[in-house]
Amino acid sequence: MLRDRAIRALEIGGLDLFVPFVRLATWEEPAEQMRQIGFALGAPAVAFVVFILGWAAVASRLETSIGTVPGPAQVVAAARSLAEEHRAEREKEAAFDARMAEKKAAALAAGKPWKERRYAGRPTYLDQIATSLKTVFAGFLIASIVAIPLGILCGTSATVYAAMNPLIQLFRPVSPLAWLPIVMIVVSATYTSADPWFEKSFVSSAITVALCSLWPTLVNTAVGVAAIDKDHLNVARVLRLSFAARVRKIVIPAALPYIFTGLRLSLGVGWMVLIAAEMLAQNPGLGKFVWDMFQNGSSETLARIAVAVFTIGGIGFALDRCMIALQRISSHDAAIA
Amino acid sequence: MTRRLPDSAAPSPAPLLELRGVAKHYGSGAHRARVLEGISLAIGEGEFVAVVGFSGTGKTTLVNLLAGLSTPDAGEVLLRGEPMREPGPDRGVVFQSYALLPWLSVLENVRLAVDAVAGERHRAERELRAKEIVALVGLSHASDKHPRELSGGMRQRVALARALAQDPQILLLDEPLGALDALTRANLQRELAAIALRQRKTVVLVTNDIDEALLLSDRVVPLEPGAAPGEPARIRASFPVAIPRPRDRAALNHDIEFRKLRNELTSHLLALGARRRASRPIAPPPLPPLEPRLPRTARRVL
Repeated sequence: MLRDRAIRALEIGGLDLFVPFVRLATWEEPAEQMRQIGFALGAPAVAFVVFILGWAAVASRLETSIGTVPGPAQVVAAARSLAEEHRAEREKEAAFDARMAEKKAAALAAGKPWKERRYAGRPTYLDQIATSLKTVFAGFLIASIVAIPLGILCGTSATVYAAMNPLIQLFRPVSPLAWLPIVMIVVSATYTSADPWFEKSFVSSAITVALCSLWPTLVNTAVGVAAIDKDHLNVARVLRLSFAARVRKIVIPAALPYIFTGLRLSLGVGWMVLIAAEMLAQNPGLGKFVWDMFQNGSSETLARIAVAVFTIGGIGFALDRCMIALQRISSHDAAIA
Repeated sequence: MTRRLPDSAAPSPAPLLELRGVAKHYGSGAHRARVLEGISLAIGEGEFVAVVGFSGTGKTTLVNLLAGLSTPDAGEVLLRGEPMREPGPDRGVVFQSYALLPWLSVLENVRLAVDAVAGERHRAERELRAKEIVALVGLSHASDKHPRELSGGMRQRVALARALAQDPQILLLDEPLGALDALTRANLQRELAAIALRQRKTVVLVTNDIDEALLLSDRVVPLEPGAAPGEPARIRASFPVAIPRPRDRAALNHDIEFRKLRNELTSHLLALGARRRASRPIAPPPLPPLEPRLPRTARRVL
């Protein structure tokens, strides 16, 4: 039935909030649905309004060396100007590319050598968001590639887990700010290529994100693998499955819900850590944006940083929702009603 | 009349599967639990042996030993006269909890076993074989369903299908019907009897139901609980079931041999239970009077 499928899709997407609307649309217990909508949307809406009003009231009274603290209106204006800058920059780039294409055609027609040149404008706010997302996914990928196999190893062997546990406990609480200098120095020493695929700052930030975010996946994978029903492992023993077949057919599917819980926590940690890493590594992402704004101290600085704060929060929230959806899809018995 | 069979009286010539003076303990030091001790049991090729025992007497431990999933602390487990080292596909196990993989469909659960034993065969051939076995247990209509969508009886059939799919010489059934309602249980007992007869497998059935044991097996072996709680369980007696097959459940109730065996077995187990109860330091709370014809009641009382 369409309604049930819509509800299920919303639940998987972590958008349970909108389930009452679907039910209301089919006129199923309308009074109850209205009550739920009022509860699920009304309460947050009130809190949001109170927050905006309180913010506006407090901000106008706080004087700093670079002007008053921006209220909601200034922040919206700053967001608009950032979007406008992005549009203007893209237009300039398009114009530049068009000019270059003309020159190239002329040069080739005249039989002269031609060297490709790319537009060298400043990265806009949206470019910086894209860089941050790329960096966090690169770090997250490295973390997953390291943490999942290691977690499986820890989960299958009590000895390995006992050996690894002190190291995990020791490194898990380390701040990205402590890792970053080490990573940067090691990267500059080892990542030497005439024509590098990635910027050094990108590699350093990604590795720092990976170092900080691999622990939740590692621990959760280990716990998930250790918690596999003994009978399921006995099935593998009776059938004499090879190690690879056992991992592929039994261990990974059984531990998948735990692994996804770990991945979700890891991505959250990674996103949080990324901003700090980018600030210091000068990776052209949101962290660098905040840092640059802080450095140049114009009248719009605070408003623009506030835009970044909301962007960071919003993207973090969206990433978490995506991971919840994956987690729900992957769980084979619990969430399926 | 209890027939006490010494080891040498086991079926001739060399048994397929044999336990010799086997003991199994769990834990160590003061926490050591002695589960089984001095267990000797010889199972001949093609024989259907039922092991009957109360809950908590080590029936699952016994199955794990026979399957090679655990190793004895004393004595030996022999398979075709050779010491058994590890589990293998020649010994199919139906686990008490079924142990179906919840992320695989019925057909995929069976395929897992087919692939493991016939990996070198062509893909289509394996697929066909898995389908045949799913059909054998009457689940063709549900072959794409996942275990959570199945009833207890259907799950049990899948577990049996998976064990049969590895084409084992020996089938080890650990209380396979224990969690089912009486009607489903009766149906599956009939099917189990038919499959065992048709496939000529050696079967060890572990159960707490005396009627079930007598209905299905060639020989009933009671797993006797220790005289006091904490004492290990033992096997001392063996009751051959000389009732011609196929056995009809309804007709059995009037069969003289069946009634005689059931009385013998029930009183044998009840006597053991009474001994065990008498040795308890604290008397159990008052319970309803025994109904010897209902072994399940007896189990609860003991």
